[in-house]
Order: sequence, then C-alpha cells, then structure tokens
Amino acid sequence: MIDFIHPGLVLILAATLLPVLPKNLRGPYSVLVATVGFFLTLIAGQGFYGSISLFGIEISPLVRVDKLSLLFAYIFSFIGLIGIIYCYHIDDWLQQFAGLLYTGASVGVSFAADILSFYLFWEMLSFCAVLLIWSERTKESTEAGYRYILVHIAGGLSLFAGIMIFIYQTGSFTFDSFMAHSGEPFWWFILIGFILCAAVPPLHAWLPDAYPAATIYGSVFLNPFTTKAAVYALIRGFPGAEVLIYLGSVMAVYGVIYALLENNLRRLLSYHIVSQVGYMVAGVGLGVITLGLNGSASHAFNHILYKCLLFMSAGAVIYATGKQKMTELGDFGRYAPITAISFFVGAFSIAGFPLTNGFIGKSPIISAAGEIHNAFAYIMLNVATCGTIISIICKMGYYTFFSDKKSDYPVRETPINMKIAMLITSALCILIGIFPHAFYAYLPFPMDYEPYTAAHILDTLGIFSFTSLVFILFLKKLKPKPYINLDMDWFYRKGAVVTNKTLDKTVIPAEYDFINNVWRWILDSVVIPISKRLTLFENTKMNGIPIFMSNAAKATGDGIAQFGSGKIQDYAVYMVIFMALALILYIIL
Amino acid sequence: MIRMISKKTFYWICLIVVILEIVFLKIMHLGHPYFDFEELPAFGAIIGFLGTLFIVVVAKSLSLFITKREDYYD
Repeated sequence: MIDFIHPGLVLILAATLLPVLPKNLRGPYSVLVATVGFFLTLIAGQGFYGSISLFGIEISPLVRVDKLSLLFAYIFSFIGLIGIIYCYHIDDWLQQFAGLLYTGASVGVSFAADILSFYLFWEMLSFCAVLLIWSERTKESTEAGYRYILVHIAGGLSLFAGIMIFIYQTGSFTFDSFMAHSGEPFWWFILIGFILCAAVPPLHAWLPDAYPAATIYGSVFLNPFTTKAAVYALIRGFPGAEVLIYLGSVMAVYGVIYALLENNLRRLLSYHIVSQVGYMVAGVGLGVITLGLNGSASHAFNHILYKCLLFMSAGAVIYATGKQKMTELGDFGRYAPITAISFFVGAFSIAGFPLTNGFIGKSPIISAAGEIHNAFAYIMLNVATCGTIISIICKMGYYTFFSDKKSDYPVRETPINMKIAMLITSALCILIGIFPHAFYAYLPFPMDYEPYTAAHILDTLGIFSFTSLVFILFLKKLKPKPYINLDMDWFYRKGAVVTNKTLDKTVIPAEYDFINNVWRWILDSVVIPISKRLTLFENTKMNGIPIFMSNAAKATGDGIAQFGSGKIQDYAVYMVIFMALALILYIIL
Repeated sequence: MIRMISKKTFYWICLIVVILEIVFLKIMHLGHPYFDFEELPAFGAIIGFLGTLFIVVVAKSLSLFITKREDYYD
C-alpha cells in the first residue's frame, strides 16, 4: 500500500502526455488530470515522506505534508482545475500543458520539505509562466516574456546563492524557518529571491508588465501561482521578519495608487495583486503572533479565489469584445450579466465587504497589526482597503460595466465552460464569507477569532460608504484616460536602450576608429615588413641548408655505393678487414 | 451601480452609517479599539474619507510625472 502519491508529480507527468493526444481529447484529458490532482491533494495525509541519496549525502524527508502546506496545496490544485475548465474550449495544447505543469509545480513547492527539491519546483514556476506569456504570440508578449524570464533568472540566482551558502554553513537541507540566522548574508539572499517573486516594490515591475501581455487564459493561471508560492515560502521561511511589515504595508498602498491610474483592465488587476500580496507580506512580518501567519495564509487562500474570479471575468470581457482598455469599453453589463455578476462578487470580495471571503480573509492580518500595536501597518492596510474599493469597484466596475459605451465594440457569446468556472468560484467566495469558522479550521495554527464583530462590520461599512462618496465627488477627475504609467521597469526598459546607445557611441567608435586603426598601423609598419624580411631570409639562406644536406647525402651515398658490388667474395674481404681492425683496436686498448 | 441609486439616497446611506457607528461604538461601547485614534467618533467613516482622499491626491500628483503616451516604449 502506497501511503502517499505526490499530486504535483502526477500533474507534471500527466501533462507531458497532452501534446501527443488527438485534438478533441485534449480538453477532457486536461480536466481529468486536474481533477485527479485535486483529488489526490484532498486525500493526502499529514506526515513526512520519501528520501534520496545524492553524492553520498542522505536527504530525508523530501515531502512534508502539514496544515500549512496542505492549505496552499488545496487552493493551488483547486484553482488549477478551475483554470483548466476555463480554457476547456481552446485549441492550443501549449496553454493547457503549461497550466497543468504550473499547477503541479506549485503543489510541489508547497509540499517540498528539502530546499533542493523546493528550488527545482520553484524554478519550474517561471518556466511555465513564460510559456503562458509567449502563448499570446504577439511582439509585445514576446518582449514581455523575455523581460519576465530575465528578472526571474536574477531572482533565482539570488535564491540559489542563498541556498548554497545555507547548505555550506549549516550542513542542513531542510527547508524551515531561517529566522535563527536573521541578518546573515544567505538570509538576505534567500529573502530577496522570495520577495522578488512576491512582487515587493521595487522588485515588482515584472508583474504588471507581464500578466496583461499573456493570453486571457494564461493570466488566470499566472495570477495565483508564482506570487502565492512566494507567500507560502515567506510564511515557512521568514515568520516574524520585521522588515516585511513595512515592505508589505507600503506595497499594499503602492499597488492601489498605480491601480487607480490604470486604463488597461488586466494591468489594473495586476497592480491589485501587488497590493493584496502586500497584506500577506505584512501578515508574515506580523507573524510574531500566530494570528498574523494565519491571516497571511487565509488571505492568500481567499485572494486566489477572488483574484482568479476577477481575471476570469476580465478575460470574459476581453474575449467577448476584443477590447481591454476602459476607454474603449463601458456599458458592458447589459450584454453579459453573468460576467458582470461574477466581476462584482470578485470586486466586493477583494475590497473586503462583509459576507464575502475577502472580509474574513484579511481581517486577521489587520487585527494582528492592532494586537501588536503597529499603528503604521494598521493605518496603511486600512488605507489600502480604501484604494481597493475606489479603484476596483468604483473605477473598473463603473467604467466597464456601467457608464456610457465609449466605442462601438462587437459582442461575442462567452463559452459555457468559462461561465461555469466563474460561477463555481463566485459561489465559493460567498460561501466562505458566510461560514468563516468552517474555513478557519483549515488554517495552520489554532485560532479563536471572530471576524463578524459590530465594530469591524461598522468600520468596514463606514470605509465603503465614504470611499464611494469620494469617488462620486471626483467622478470626472477619475475618468480613465488612454495613457500608460511608468513604473520601476522603466529603469531596465529604458536602461537597455540607453546601454545600447552608449555602446553605439563609445565601444563601437572605439573599436572602428581607434583599435582598428592602431591594428592596421601595426600590421603595415611592423608585422608585414618583418614577415617580408623573413621570407627573403628564408629564400636565400635557410633554403640553402636542406639543399646542401641533400647534396651531401647524395655524395655519401654514391661513395658507399661503390662498395656494394654485389659479389660475395668482396663482402667476405670487408668482414675480415673489419674483424682485423676490431682485433687490433682490442689489443691496443 | 451609481446610476441605480441616486446621489441623494447615497448621501443618506453615508449619514445612516455614521449614526450607526456613533450609536453602537461610542454610546454602547461594543468595540474594543487597539489604538487611541480609533476612539474618534465614526472612525471607519473618517479613515474611509481621508484614506481615499490621500490615495486620490497622491495618485493624481504622481501621474504628472509618470503618465506617458501609449507608444512611449516603442
């Protein structure tokens, strides 16, 4: 009896069969694989499994299944299934393949007990993401994909350096809390590797750059896995690292400020990922009490649900109209009520309205900030909530689904599988919001927390109503405009252009005008004259030597040949003479 | 959403929320605030209003420097 089947490996291995299947079987097959993966995660029992012997070093265990990794594995494998249902109808095996692989790798990350297999699954995430970005097959997405992979290679190298120093210094392969080594070089290297994937500013620009460039199905897969795997890694490795409180609080506000300025639907949602992951990062920093860590885990779980719902409904809008800018949309609600309802369920969840899973998900983090009396985090996280409400419900909701129609866009019917995926997720968002305690039972640490208190509900209602009030007051000012906003990626996007231009102006002139001329002068005035001399010398003097030698050899040979007469008696005479000579020499000496 | 409920009804909702907050939290003391500033009457409404104002003002002033035409990178 096998006591544990790794769902991640099953997903990865099964995904490799997808390309060889006939076209019409790929959809059902990928749904089947994703369902099996989810089912295997559900039946996974807690414990430690597996071991491997590598270069004489025994690494054991390889797989750790505890409450924290199970919570993340549940949501990763579930949202993989939802994503696969969402892209059931497409005729592009690459995206379904990358989706399954991505799901498998994320489950692998959450189950990895040793740091080496963790790193392997971790790097696989970036590979799958880039496949999904390139699947859009436009010039823009190709470039964004290259930028994505370059940034992630940099982060991966930092993580790898940290891991190598960690193994060398401690001799341990276990992936557990690094807080005992707080402040050491490898602690920083690993932390930078993690927060780059969690999109913490200033290392976040890859996210809003790449996610809107992917296919609409790709962005449903992209948004839950990489950043939330990083949140898992932070909860596991850096619980209570104080620097994360401040990074996370600033990040939560940073994201919504950019989101408010955005015009592109999916870029706006991408900035909301930055903001929402900010709550989780702050929660990890507040993890000196388990309420903070529980909050991070529960927020990550619920965030994945409603964020995927938002990306799915944005994808449905883009699928139906072919437009992805708010300046070209408007009044879409009347054409697609199911998309609109799903969007608003997701929008109210992300803003944390009571009776949605966003409310019960992020409350523990804000309460944790209160419990340990960190006023900065408490205020910043509340301000970020205001920003979320105004940019997603008010701005995106109003200007996409209501308002006036701003361009004469066509409307295509949304496939039934996309609607099913959206409705299942919407239902879950509300169910978890209504029954928080059933969900809290799955959190990694025991917790006695009540989100629905009078103070909490009333404060939230106050924030909602007055944020909307400000939106009404600034309605004209906040109208979407057809512009883009520069972010940290400016430094490397413009930096690359500037580097190329600088090379054109410095290295290339130096090469052509200076080094080439010097080289030509050296050739003309030194190398060629010398070689001419050498040729002359060789022709006149050096060639004489072999000619002389061959002449000498010929003369000698001719001389010797006179003795070789061919007569046996001559040879007998030579032999007698030589023996006599030898005898005489012997006697004299 | 905003078209469905007129502006006037909306102002009434805001007022009711403020009254509820004051009645339940300041008079009946149902909450247990973590910080002193939470003792302010209708704290939720205050942080909702000021926080959003902060976000809008920062975003708008930031956009003077960072907002560019769509072909900026081409």
